[in-house]
Amino acid sequence: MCGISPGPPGKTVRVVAKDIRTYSRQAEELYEKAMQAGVMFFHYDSDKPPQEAIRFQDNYIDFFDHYLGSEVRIPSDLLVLVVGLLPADDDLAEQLKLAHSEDGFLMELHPKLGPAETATQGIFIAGASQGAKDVRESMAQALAAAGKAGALLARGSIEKEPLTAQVNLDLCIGCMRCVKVCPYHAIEQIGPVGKDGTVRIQEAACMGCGTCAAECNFDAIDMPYFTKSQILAQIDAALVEYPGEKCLVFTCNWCSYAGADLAGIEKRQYPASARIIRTMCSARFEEDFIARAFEKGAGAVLITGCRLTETGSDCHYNFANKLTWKRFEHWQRKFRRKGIDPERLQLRWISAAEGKEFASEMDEIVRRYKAEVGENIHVPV
Amino acid sequence: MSQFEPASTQAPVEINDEKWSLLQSLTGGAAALCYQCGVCTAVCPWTRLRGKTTSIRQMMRRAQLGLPDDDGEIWLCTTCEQCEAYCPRGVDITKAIRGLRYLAWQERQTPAGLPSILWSLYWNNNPWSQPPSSRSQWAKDLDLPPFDHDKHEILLHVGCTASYDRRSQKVTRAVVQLFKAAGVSFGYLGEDEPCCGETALSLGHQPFFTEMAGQATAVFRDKRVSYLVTVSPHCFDTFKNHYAINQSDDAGIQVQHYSQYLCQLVKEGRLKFGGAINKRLTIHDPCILARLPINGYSWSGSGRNGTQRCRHDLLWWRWRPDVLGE
Repeated sequence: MCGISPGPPGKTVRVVAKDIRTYSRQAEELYEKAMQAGVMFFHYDSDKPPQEAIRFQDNYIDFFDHYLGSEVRIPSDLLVLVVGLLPADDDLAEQLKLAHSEDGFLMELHPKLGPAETATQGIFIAGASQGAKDVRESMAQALAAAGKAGALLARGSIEKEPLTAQVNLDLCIGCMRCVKVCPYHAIEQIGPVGKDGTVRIQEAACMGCGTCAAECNFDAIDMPYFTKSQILAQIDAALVEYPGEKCLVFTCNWCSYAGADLAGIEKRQYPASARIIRTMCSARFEEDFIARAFEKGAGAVLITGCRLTETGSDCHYNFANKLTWKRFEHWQRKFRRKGIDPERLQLRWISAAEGKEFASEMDEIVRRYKAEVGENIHVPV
Repeated sequence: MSQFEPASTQAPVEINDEKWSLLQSLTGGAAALCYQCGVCTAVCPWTRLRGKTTSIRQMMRRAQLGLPDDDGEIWLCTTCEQCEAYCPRGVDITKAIRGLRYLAWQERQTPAGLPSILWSLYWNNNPWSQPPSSRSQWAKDLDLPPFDHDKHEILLHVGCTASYDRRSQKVTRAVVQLFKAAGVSFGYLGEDEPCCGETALSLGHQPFFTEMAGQATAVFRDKRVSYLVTVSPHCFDTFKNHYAINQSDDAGIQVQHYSQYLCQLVKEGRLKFGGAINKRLTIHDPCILARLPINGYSWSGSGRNGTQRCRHDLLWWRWRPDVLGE
């Protein structure tokens, strides 16, 4: 819009657009000023791409004007195509493990609560890396990003919750699978892949999701306060009595646990057979947990986490729940082969605001597996 | 989209820079701000009257692009300004329509009969093709004095319609009666009274209107008029909003409609009612006077549900006879 101003006398500026939206401060005023100064605005057929809707031939531009209800022909010396802004064509996002939106621009942590932050701690974004914006907005965001970075640097140290992953080097075989899955690049590969190599956890970068612990097949990584033995003990305890009518629910700290909590706060009724086990992220759930649950005869196992859709994820650990989804599909195939009805292993995405949904999902799942196992309630399996 | 697809035989409308810049300079880009919402089309009385859409919106689009009218619809507009009262963008729609009309004059694309109205203005000093000599016929038995700056407070500007039209003449005579009752010293210009040129203005012939306005202003200056009261609301609007007679100027002329002046007389106690008038009042929504607050009138209420109450002072006083203490 800034570029649209009436040119030298004798030159007329005309704008043919699909639609025009002015959203930043003073932009509407600028638009009006341009209109009053004699810049003509046209809208072309929105159902067609510009190259089809607009024809330029023999110094005439032809297109259909909706408002007039007829074809318009404009004598013109020059037709300039203003192309849209595209994200930079590089692999910076991949290198820094930054999330990006569908159109390829970097994504902020939260549109309101973290507009200059990214999901990766210590990395901040500003300006057109995030999307089309004007200088004023870029400046504001750059100042915010600089302020955030400055605050980090000024302190000289950072405070972490004591949830960062711990490596048992004796058990590590150097397969480096954890290095690949870490959503924060917090695991450093030391030495070559294989027996001679090992890993080091960068505690400053580790956010404690537990994706690596679940990925490790050799129990070389464990999560403090969510250790494998602790969780297995919870599973055992939950299934001591009448395991066949119990539904074991794995929840993540941020969304589904809060959703279950909300169901309680809202006094919603859901089957009393639910047994909830909390971890920080759904990516912490490992196959051994599910296996132990079925071994103990659990009626059903429900895996829950933050919402994951085709267009994005609400995951609080930089899309770690994408891995949960992948693992879940793998487990279902695997347990089916082992003769366990896949209906008994379910996955649901539940947000912190969905107490009602949590309760109704629980209802449905319990109804389903009861139909499967019959009404053999109170009979130890 | 197919429903908007033009017929293949329809020739494209070509935008012409010359016509566009003529319209732009004539209207000052009045239509530029229009965002084509179509409220004007929805509220235009013509739509209801004809039972057929009168697309003011498309006229505004044509005005934006400098395209002359193609179907004669622009000549329907009576410049009542209903659309302007509702326009969310504050577009001076009548100004844009007058501009389009001027384009039509330029293209010689006016409806038959219109040129003769302008000729009547030129030859007869009125749009009604009436002889100038009978302009003061309505007052022949009233013994009205010609305006004299030293003797008279106000100049009563009767205007063409109120001078020639039989029904309007009654209004004029009633106004004179009221002024006399209030003891107002006033004069009129009789056969020398200039036409305000509203017809030329509304028909969009801006150059001719400018010429007429110049002539009328010269007459007022010559007679040293400083306070002018009109009978016709159209004369009032034309003098007040389309003439360059600045009221703040020392040599400026104060212009009022007779209803405003009467209101003033009532307030000053010069005009007294004979008794309480306990009557229900129905007011014809006068386009020129009440449509826009610009003319010194204001209406309360939204104006959309038919429950408006007239807040014009005179009518207010008459509604509340108790306030008058009678």
